Amino acid sequence: MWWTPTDSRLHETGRVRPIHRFALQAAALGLTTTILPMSGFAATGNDAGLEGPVPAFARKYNLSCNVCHTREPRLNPFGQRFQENGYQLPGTEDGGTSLKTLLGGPGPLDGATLDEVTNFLAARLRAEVQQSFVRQKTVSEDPDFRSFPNVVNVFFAGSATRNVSFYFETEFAPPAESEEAKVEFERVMLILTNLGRYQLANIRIGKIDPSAFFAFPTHRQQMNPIFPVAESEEFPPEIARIPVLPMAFAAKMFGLTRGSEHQGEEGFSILPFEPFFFNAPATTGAMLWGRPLGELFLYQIGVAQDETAEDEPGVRWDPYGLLRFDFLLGPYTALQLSGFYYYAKNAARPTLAPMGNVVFGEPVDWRRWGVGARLHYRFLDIYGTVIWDDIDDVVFPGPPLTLSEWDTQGLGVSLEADWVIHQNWFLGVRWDFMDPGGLVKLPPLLQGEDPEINQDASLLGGILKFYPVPNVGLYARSHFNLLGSVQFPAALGGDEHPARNPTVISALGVDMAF
Amino acid sequence: MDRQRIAWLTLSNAALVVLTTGPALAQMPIEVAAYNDRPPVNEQTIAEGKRIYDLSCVHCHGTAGRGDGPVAYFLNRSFGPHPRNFTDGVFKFRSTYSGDAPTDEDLFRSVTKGIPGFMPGFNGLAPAERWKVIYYIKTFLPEDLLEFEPEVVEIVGEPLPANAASIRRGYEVYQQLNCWECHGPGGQGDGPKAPDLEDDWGFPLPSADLTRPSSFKNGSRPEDIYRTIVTGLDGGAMTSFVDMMRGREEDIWHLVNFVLALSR
Ligand code: HEC
Ligand code: HEC
Repeated sequence: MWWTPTDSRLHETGRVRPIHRFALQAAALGLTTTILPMSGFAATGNDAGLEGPVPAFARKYNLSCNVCHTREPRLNPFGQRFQENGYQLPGTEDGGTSLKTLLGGPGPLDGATLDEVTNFLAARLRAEVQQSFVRQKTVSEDPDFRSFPNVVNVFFAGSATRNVSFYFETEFAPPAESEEAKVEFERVMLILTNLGRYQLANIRIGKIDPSAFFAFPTHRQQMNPIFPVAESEEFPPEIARIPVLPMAFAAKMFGLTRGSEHQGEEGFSILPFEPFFFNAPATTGAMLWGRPLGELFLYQIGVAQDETAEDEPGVRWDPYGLLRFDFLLGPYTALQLSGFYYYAKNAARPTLAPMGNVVFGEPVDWRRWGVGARLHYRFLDIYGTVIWDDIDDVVFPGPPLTLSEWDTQGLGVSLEADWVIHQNWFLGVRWDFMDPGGLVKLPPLLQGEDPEINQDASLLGGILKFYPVPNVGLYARSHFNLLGSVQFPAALGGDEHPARNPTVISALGVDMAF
Repeated sequence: MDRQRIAWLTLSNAALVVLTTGPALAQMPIEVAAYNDRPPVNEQTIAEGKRIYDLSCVHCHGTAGRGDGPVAYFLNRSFGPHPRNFTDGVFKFRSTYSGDAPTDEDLFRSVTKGIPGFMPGFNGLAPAERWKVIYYIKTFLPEDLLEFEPEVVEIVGEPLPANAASIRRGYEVYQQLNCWECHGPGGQGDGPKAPDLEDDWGFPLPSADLTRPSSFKNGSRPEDIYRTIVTGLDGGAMTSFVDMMRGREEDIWHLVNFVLALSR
């Protein structure tokens, strides 16, 4: 569930700050000191009588991972309720205190409790070897053999007391070639639960994932995403390879930037394939949710903070809302439907760079809405989402840029079907599609007869995963491009379009949680 | 910002080191005696029980208590146990004779402590709420099961000191009663019959690893293991030994000592 992939490198391509070597060593030391005691714990066995170690909540409640996951990292309906309830069992609101050690007798600590450390501490280690096949070699696409593990996440999460829970997650990625190592707080949040009465209102504040309750599993519940190979400091951005992640979540707009103030910073160019807004893995903000009328439906409203793309950027508080319905349809069957709306004022600027000179259009408002559905039936888990993006009309100061052609709407679809074939085997099939908006054609002089810029993307993928124990998954995956070759206009370099360049993207990897 | 991050990381990890090397913290014992809060059985408490069931139990046990909630096959795809179908009226963790209904106290204990590996313990529900949800799940049981008050199997005698002689005697009983056929000579669940065991619902059911008492679903105190042996675990592969052992209650206590010795 929550010790699932998060991808700083993905959602904030490059906005991750390198840290220096000393800090790295400190972090490595820290990780060793956390992981070693945990593996010690693993070696002494856990109470569930399961082979091998199980992560924090499973340890705390003495349960198999599969009580909350269809298969780790994806949450099943019970795990979703556990998450909604601030890491307390659904229906309860005692802060899990009954499982904890009572610290104090009479005196200042009276009533204070503490979990065993392994009950709120967990780590996740991932390693992957990738190989992609491309039509045109724009960057080195040799197999990416990285040090083991590629990514380590350490979590502390749990309920502090009745009505108060917490969640910290750090991510540590050892340096790959040409990259600097980084450690950062992926998500940090304070969770207030069951305010007023059970499930009337809950609040999360901090660095949070707005789409936590959407019917389509969030980023952290996705299999290891395959990161993009892209540079976003300058406009136009260089995109050598698109990432493999739910395309419905992506920005889906060509030709937009975050405004002149961000020029030269990573993230200046908005990458059409980057997860965005409501569907970003983490944004600073707050949200309120609950199920005031019982299990049937959930409401959620929230705000996410960012900067406007105006000449003098100000703080943007993007409001969003979500409704979700849950139905237990019959034997072994649950259906979830949800829809959301997200609004970002002056979020981006249409941008062109004739002859290398960057010229900005007027800032545009951005609206996003989406629907998602998920069906659990016996050992099948099928889910899909369609997400639309819509920006204001594009206005440039004057000709010839006003002659460029823009599409103010983008659409993305992601569909996945997972089949738990056997206790230890999992097979998933996914289709991702994007009909992006944004820049369609450069001004006629530059565009000529060249193909349009906002080409569709469509990938069909398969993943086979083997779980020798519930918390260790070994997998092989391949994603095939369903669409043929198209070039970028000559004025943009004339290379193979990034959405069309890869023919097959494959990976072999391991994903473990302790 | 970087500095802040580093500070955080160092701090949090330092805290961890202190915590992990500190004294092992014992878990709070679970209090089962909750009779003071026991509400009466009536329409209102049963309706309240349904509300709790729909929040806490329905995802596994299903809307009609048939064990067919959406989580069932994900929890256990190819093996037993699956969430219980209450309409079958079969219960594993009883203090009563095989085939009979459990007492309300048995159910209270299962709901409070949970079932290691498969069902969380709901001690986060107030005792009154636990009683109410039990009243509600009893409405799913077959009527004939509830026609008479179930009789509790008497626990005769008391735990014996676990000395060498007792454990040796327990070992003999373990051989005699063929416990090893399922649980294996060393109690690790690897007996010759183990691969073919199935539960009443047709799922392969691994026999328990007796070297890990903390995974025992029915409790791991000597009294609990005594109860497991005499009442059996209905619906699974383990039968009741109450008739076979009538008059040999001391041997059961020796056997209990042997089972507990397996993990030492
Ligand atoms: C995560 C899934 C899950 C949830 C949630 C759950 N159960 Fe269970 N329950 C199970 C499983 C699995 C079994 C069967 C275990 C076995 O046979 O070893 C079971 C068995 C039982 C039994 C039978 C015990 C016996 O003596 O055989 C009772 C009673 C029970 N559950 C009550 C409840 C109640 C009441 C709730 C809600 C407060 C609940 N369960 C929530 C999975 C669950
Ligand atoms: C026919 C096979 C079989 C035989 C014979 C057998 N058992 Fe078991 N036993 C099982 C299975 C299967 C389980 C696990 C049941 C479950 O998890 O639902 C089990 C579980 C147990 C448990 C753990 C109960 C719990 O609380 O989880 C103990 C203790 C135990 N057996 C002791 C014994 C002893 C002592 C004997 C001999 C008197 C014995 N068994 C004979 C199959 C057998």
